[in-house]
Amino acid sequence: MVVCMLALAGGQGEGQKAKEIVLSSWGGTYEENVIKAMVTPFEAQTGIKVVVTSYPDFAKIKAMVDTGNIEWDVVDVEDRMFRRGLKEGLFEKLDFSVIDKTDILPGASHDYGVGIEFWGGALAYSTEKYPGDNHPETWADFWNVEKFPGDRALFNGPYDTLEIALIADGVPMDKLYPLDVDRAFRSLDKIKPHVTVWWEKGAQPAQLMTDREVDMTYAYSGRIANIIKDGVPAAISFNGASVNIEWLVITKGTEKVKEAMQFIAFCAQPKPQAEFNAAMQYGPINSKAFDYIAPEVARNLPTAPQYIDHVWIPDAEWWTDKDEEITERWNAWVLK
Amino acid sequence: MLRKPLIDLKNMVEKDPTRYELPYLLPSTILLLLVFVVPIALFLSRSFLDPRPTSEHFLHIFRNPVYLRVLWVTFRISFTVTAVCILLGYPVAYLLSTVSDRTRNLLMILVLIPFWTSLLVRNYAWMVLLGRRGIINNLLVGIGIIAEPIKLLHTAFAVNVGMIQMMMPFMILSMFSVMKGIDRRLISAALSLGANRFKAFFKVYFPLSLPGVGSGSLLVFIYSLGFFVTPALLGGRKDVMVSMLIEEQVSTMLNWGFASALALLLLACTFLFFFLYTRFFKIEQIF
Repeated sequence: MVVCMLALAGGQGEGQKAKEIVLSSWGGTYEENVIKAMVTPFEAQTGIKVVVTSYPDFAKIKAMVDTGNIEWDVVDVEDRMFRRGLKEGLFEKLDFSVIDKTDILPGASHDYGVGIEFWGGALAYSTEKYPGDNHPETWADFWNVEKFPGDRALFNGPYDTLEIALIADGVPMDKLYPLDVDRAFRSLDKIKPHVTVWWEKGAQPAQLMTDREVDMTYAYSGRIANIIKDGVPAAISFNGASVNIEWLVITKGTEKVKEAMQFIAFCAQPKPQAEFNAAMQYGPINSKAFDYIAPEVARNLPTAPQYIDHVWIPDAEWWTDKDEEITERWNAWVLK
Repeated sequence: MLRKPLIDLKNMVEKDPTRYELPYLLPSTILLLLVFVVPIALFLSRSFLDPRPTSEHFLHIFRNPVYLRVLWVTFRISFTVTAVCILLGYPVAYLLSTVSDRTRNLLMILVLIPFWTSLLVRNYAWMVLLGRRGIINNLLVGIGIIAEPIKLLHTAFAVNVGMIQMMMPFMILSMFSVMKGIDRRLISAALSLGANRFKAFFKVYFPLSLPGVGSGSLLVFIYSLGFFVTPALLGGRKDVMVSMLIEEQVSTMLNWGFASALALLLLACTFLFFFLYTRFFKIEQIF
């Protein structure tokens, strides 16, 4: 009997210990804000401890699932990683009786993932070069070098660049896919001589705007919002911007599905969404989050109510089987 | 008693050098095998094994003009960088080998400080200098030499300037190490035998310093072939080097088989170059 009791107690101890999940996140300020806005309040509310570790790595997730040795219960993955993971069956199916998706924006909930933020690929321009109301607003303006002379920068790669080239050429945002790749390159031919910088990494456009190296660029909005906060004379136009989803997923085979599900449900709520995204200058995935965000902050977030009808979501499915061929064509085009 | 040591290492080595050198080389050989040769071989084997045994990756490289073109750009940039490094580095190395120890130490610090500074910091420093509103353009516009800022950053010029600065210490130190061993009295002898300064330099000193030029060039050229950060940050759209394509395949396309084929191609070209080069410069002279 005593042995039995002890065994039970021991079993309970194990159960207590199991109430700890591991989240793989992106390090730096990103991770700090995840902890502040999501992890700490979640721990306080549920008593489930969340250990945060850095850098989601696709190969690692695959190895964990293959070997059944799950180290990460919840992972923060980019859309492209998400699509690949779906194909390889690396994620647990979500339970939407636990996760409330009433106010989650379309495109941010999926059978196997819920968004944590949207990041915007938008037009950033110098308010020093274009003061007042006469500033570039749309991708057609970006392509219009007579009306808006100045040096331009674009991302050195096809993702989003082909899409904005089509939008500039008059393709409506809801009719982008399947992309007319030939037309996109023809449109890019027109702007090519005026693009002085083809940037490689997401941090570069912020640098280019800060150094006044170019007058307008395609950029990740969060980066630009941060330099605006630091006083750089720049502004973001979300007219025709892409909004790209970042997902929270549960690694297939984890024993802590229940706790992981609770965590994802918590992260999708308006308040954590507001706090995290306002700090990071990203777009919340929950429309109610804007109730908690000041308007002067909201104007730099891609999913703010005033922009939501003027942005588009890249079709990662369309890209998955074509990206190698198109990237190759892109590399050849850029060298010409 | 002391005349005959217990182990006459010198004598033993002279009799059969390889027999006694081998044990000393063993630890480093094993280490290099484990942490360098094996992983690299494993990665490169992907070029014809990933996802299944295939020659597709290599055929793809040769079918598509982009890759050979980028390879050509890579060699062209590396060649320019090496040539300019020789021209600029030679006088510096010469100066270092002639001045007093005290002055040499001071000058050496100037050579080494950039060498010790992070690559990334130096690249960003060039961005600050060469930018449209950078120090150089502001100065030129300020004193009225040019009316509008000229485009310096994001050009082949910027890549070359940046890489030359990164590579200079390697060139200077290689040449200096040879030059400081050249017997100065040979020049005096040439002069006393009737050669003028010009002739004494080119007939006597210059040939003796060539091994330094040879080793420095080899080091700089091969190092340059693998450059990634500088062309990515300072270059324009046409200044793409092979390592940038490899990085794209590894991290964006997740196509490791193709990345490894590109890496193998670069490595093969490097070996080919190394082979041809050592036919011209005798390898024993270089090392």
